Amino acid sequence: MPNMESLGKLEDIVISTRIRLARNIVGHKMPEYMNIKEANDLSKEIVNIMKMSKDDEYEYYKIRDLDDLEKTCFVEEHLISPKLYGSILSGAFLLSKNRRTTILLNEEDHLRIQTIYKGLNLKQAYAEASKTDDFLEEQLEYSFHEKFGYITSCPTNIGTGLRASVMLHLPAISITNNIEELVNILRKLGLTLRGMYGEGTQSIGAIYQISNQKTLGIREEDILDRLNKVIAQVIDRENEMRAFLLNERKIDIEDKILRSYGLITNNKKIGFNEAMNYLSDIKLGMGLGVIDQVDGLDINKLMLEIQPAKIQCKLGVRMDKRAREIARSEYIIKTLTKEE
Amino acid sequence: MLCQICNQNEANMHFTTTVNGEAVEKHLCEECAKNQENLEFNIPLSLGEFLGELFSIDELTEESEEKHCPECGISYEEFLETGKFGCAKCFETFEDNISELLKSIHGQDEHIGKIPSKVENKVEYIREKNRIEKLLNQAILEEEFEKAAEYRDLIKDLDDKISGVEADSNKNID
Ligand SMILES: [Zn+2]
Ligand SMILES: [Zn+2]
Repeated sequence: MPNMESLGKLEDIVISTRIRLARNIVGHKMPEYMNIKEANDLSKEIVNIMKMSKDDEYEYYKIRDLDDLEKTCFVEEHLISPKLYGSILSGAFLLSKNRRTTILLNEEDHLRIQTIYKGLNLKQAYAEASKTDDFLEEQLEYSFHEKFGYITSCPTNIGTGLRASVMLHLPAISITNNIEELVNILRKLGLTLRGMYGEGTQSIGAIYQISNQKTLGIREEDILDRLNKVIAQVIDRENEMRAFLLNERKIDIEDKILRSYGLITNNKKIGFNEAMNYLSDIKLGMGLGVIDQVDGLDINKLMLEIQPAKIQCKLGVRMDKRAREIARSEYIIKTLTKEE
Repeated sequence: MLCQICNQNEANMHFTTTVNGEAVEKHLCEECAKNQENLEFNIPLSLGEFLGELFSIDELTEESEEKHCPECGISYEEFLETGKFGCAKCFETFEDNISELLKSIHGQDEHIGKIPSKVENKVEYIREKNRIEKLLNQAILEEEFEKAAEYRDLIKDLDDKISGVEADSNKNID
């Protein structure tokens, strides 16, 4: 009999929390309308301000100094956005030593403060981003409109400039074909559901991001509060679906999980999407008690490490697709079976 | 005040223009202001002909009516094409259009969240002023002139406070 208590575990379902604050500086056009020199000077100004920060040390990266692999690794770790990746002329970012905070420079807005926490940590992540925001605000003049609030390049971010997102693993809602229904419900609540890499991306391995849509006419605390409440509901639904699978579709779900385990531990090469789908089943299987937990195994971390660029950064070798698939296969089998 | 050009009619048009790069205030009557405008829009004939060949007259007049942001130069139509604003000034230039747009996106057009601490006082004075201006208009409509006078005094106080904090923040920049 599987352990029913393990069903309610938050960390089985919530992967990470992300807060993003969009800000612009008085006296400068938006990044897309700025010339390169002005944009670079503004970056330097912000870099110099952050050097004075006592909380964290930051490392400074210019997009044009990074090669494709390095840039892609930052995107796969969610430390920078795909949009910044493409800002080859004046895009830059500051990354804190603990890798929790990134300050994206000259992306869509002059600066975007992003803080990522493991698990469900909306309040803490916001508090940290807001503190960095306060620090920058002491030294800079932010564009702030009495009525509209923090000015942003895109009207969808205006007001608080706050986007809060939670990344979740929702295999049971996904297997039972309830994702579309969830999307509709969330839309009515002013929230969006997206795939693993954000805007316009497909879901891989039943990983989804839920975030607030509305940024204006609502207080930051209320944005976080509402999202928190909805996430709790989504977790409840996921657990209900998990219980349904165990009670009503026991053989089928066990069969699916065990097949995935068999396949991912018995292959010589494997693509990213295929691997993610099996790992999703294994993560679910461990949550349901269908397969045994492996001591010290962090599947979230493993999912992050086997991405196309990340696997190369992780192993320190540049590889083509075929070489990556072989390396990915070896790395996953080694990690899952704890073989050396 | 009398019109600076004809010195006869009451000057009810007030604006600033730039002469040799310097801002000059002008106080004119309606009639003289109209003549001024005509002068300033007077394009040399050759250039007019040139433009006329490139664009139809309709396009030319449409173009001149379209409002552009004085800072970044984009028009509201250009914003609608890209979905991205050019600068912070756009929000003053197209304030009414933006209000409607934000209502359709967010259901609201007024920020109620965090305020940068530096501008907190100023923002509060401006919000209070906007609130009292609404009361003032109401009072005038209802012909409660004593109340209206009180509101006017309050607004004047707030205006002084606003320019006070503005002066303070300029000091900080230097
Ligand atoms: Zn006159
Ligand atoms: Zn503008």
